[in-house]
Amino acid sequence: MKISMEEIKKEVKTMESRELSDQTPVLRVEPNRLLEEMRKLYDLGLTHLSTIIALQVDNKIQIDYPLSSPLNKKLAPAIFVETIVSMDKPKISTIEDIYPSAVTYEREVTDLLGVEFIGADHRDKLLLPDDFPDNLYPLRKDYTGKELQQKLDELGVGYNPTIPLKEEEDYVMAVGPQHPTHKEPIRFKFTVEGEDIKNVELRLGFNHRGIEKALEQGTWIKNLYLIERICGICSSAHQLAYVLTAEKVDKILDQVPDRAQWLRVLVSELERIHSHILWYGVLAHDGGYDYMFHITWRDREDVMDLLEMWTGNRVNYAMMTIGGVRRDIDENLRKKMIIKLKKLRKNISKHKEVMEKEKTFLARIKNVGYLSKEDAIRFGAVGPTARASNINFDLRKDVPYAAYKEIPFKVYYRSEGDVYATMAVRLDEALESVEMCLYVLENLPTGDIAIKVKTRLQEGEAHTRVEAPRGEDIHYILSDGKNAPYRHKVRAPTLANITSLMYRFKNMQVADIPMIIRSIDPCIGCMERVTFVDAKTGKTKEISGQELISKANRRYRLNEKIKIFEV
Amino acid sequence: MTSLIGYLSASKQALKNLFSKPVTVMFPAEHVSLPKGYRGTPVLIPEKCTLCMKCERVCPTGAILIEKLDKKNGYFTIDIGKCCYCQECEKACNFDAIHLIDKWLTASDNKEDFVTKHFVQRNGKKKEE
Amino acid sequence: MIIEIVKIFVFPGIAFILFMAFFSSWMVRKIVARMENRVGPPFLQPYYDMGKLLAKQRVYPHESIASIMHLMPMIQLGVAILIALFMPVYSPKGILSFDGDVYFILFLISIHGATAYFVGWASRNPYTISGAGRAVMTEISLEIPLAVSIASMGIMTKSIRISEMTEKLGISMFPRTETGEIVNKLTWLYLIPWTILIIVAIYSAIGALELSPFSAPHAETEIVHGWSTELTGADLAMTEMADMVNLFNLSALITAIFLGGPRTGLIILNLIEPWTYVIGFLFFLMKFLLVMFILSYIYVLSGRLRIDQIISALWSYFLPLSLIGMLLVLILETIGG
Ligand code: SF4
Ligand code: SF4
Repeated sequence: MKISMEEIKKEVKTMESRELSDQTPVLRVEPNRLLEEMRKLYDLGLTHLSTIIALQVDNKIQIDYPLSSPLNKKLAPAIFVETIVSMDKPKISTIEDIYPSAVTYEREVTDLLGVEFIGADHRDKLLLPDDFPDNLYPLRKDYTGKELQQKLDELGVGYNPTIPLKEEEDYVMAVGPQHPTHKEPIRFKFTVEGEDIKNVELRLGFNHRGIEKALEQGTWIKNLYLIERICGICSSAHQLAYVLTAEKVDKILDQVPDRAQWLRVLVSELERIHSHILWYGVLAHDGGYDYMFHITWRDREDVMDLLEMWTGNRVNYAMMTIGGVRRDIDENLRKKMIIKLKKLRKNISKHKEVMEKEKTFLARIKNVGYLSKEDAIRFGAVGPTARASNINFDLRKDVPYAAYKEIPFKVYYRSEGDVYATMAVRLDEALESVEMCLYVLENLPTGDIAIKVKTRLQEGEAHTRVEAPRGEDIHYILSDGKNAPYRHKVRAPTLANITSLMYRFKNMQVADIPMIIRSIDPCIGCMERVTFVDAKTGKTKEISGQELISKANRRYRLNEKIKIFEV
Repeated sequence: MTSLIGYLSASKQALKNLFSKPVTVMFPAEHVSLPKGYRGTPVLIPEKCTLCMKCERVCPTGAILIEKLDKKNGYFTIDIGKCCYCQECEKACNFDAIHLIDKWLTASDNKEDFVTKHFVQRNGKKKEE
Repeated sequence: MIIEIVKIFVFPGIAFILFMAFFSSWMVRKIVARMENRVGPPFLQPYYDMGKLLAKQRVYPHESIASIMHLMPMIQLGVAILIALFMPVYSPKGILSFDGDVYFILFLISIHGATAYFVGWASRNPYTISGAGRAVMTEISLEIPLAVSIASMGIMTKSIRISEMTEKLGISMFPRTETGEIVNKLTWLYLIPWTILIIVAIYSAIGALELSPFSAPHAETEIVHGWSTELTGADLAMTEMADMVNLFNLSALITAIFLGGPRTGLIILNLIEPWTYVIGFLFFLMKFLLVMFILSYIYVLSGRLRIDQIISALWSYFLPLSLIGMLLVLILETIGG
């Protein structure tokens, strides 16, 4: 039953096959055979589509589908299926019937590169503003970032707000873009009947920052700090994915010193601890259990202090660099860290004890937002979300990177599939991460922490998948030998989980909305790094704080009636 | 029964908290202590700087701007409104002329407050590399 | 005459009620904060809050019915203060008192739910309408357990007047001879239904106050701020103040009916006229604070139930519990009577 990579290669009719710089096999298929081959691959067990990578090469658009299998360990490393379409009127058949999670990725590709997907329903814009011109595709190489921004400024894109909610037959409740559940800009449009949810629609793109385009304008070193700002919470996961990919492109991965790899693991695990504590604290808050929210966040300060002591900052650690890490740990710090971690371990066990037993809180999270194993696989769930649905898959174990191969740890997964399971998995993982940090600190190899690298990397292509606190995070880099990437594709874990999230709302109530949204630990910031700089935010930068205040005051004095619904 | 145990352990904590000192740091009056090596505001030591432009080249955000008047004199501007506190400038400088110090209270209503401009005069003799 | 006016407007009337309301609101916030290891608000915080809200502009959303949104908060505050006038503070008799006032109070409490519904409905916003529906559902479900538990206490004390219930509580639970000896050992059994009933009453009070675990009508992470989402400025100040006064009311009601209010209980003090009042007031304060503490304690340590869970909890646990309490009281009355 369990079939290996070689057999897969034999099964597929390829035009040619090649390898990326990191030995990932690439199977190039003809565009009109894509659907057929994808179905075959799905049936062979490659059920997980990580993302869709599209890029312009000369006058063609190359589309890659990284596939892998969460169940068959032999197929855990990704395999790329590639197809090439021409630039004018690019068309390719949609694969949403086979991989439902492809919908968001395909819509993203349509928005940014103008590839039409045959057979898909009419699709609105997902990421770009509604008034973005139809024939302009930000990630094509026709314009540089500056030119594009000028053009958008001329057209005044982004000044017309997103089309407001219309009155509809059913009762519509909007959660977001501004809502206390979610302090991040995303809009769920719930159609409700009394307290029951009937339908949900999603709109992203309130916060696009155009990081992928911006990365093409930076340099390899400058990009380190931009990548880090994709997300505040999993900043080092993104940085780690980026440096690993860059090292693979430059073929220096095996020269990176051991100590650096171990320290990379340490910072990733500390980050995972703080992310998970933050998450279950906020979950408690969403469930109205504010006591636990405050207690967990109080105890989270310990790990934040640890990170601050070592890296010099609480959030953006700036620890990774191509070829190693930037700061070492001395003996003194190591001892302090061990003491703090032991205290943390005690505190997390306490949280676990309370959160898994408090009855009113459990009533809110048990049997809520159920996702079965089959659905989790079908919708491409990743990370703790998948592990809560009984999928024993963790990239740290199954596709080890950095020093994870040498560090013993256990992968926790649960079979319940509800919000409670996602919480239990994260609690266990946080505890396991503390153990891993202690192991790293006690067994840290000696040696250098970085090697010197050139400012230009070699030509090449590579990808890395890392297990960010929220799940699989994939980075893909194509370098053409210049001092900036030709194409850098990032897919943050939230986008992968959003498809399954929509499915979880089935048969749920309004009151469950915050818990279910929280269950995947959504991070809208990292999800929406794609589009080009929003012209609107570009402009508001010019307005000083004073002006904004006076504007608001004027509105206040004029006693304007504030319209809420356009009826 | 299990629920009762959970309730009890939480309430034990809660009662303990009730009679212990709050962890809150009353911000403007009290401050948290910063660890050694904290990455705060970048500050230039104009006497040491040689206007070699190295830091300007590495700065990812363009927070450093060096305007040379002639070979020896120039203006060195740091805009912490742009700075991302990455410490690349400190690492790049061979003359120990720029440092990230533990100053972090930088908020201001006024954009001009973020910009510090130094007049730098290069005094010829190089420090040890 | 002057004394009457002072009673109504100063002590224990409106001024005192508002002070106690602000104080209890501060108290709950402080206890909650300290349990969460936070500092909590300073003593004057509720006054600042109210001052700020009163000074703010009122905004009514498009298509909403401004008159209702303006009127209802005032009714809420009025009703809340009216309830407060019945509360015995220093002597078993409140400012207002008549036969059957307990049921009048229950009626007034349900008016609060109705006004909440009107506000939510008039605001024309999915959040407020959702919140309004939840508020009414909670109100209806908690009404009956609360009424039953109060009625059982009425049976125990053979009265439906707050002042008499307060006065007779000690005597009817523990009838004593002149010298203070308890006549009948059996009366200790009264403590069983009493415990059940006070638990029901406290949980019902938490529901009426929309605190956790029954805070669904105000669930901030789901429906922003429930039925009062669209209220602004002075209107919001009125509802907030009404909430604070209700916090005082319900704690005082429980204090009066279940704990004997200003009565000294088993301790017998032979004091002259003004001093009985002072001691009575101190006893009231002590019991009141105890009830407040229990309220905030439950509030801190529980999550927020969903509306269907609230309803099923109130109907299938608390209502039967209150009925069992009533039954026990009746049995004891027939045996002991
Ligand atoms: S810390 Fe980084 S962003 Fe700030 S001035 Fe230095 S190099 Fe530039
Ligand atoms: S601060 Fe250092 S790197 Fe920057 S110009 Fe001066 S000497 Fe050169």
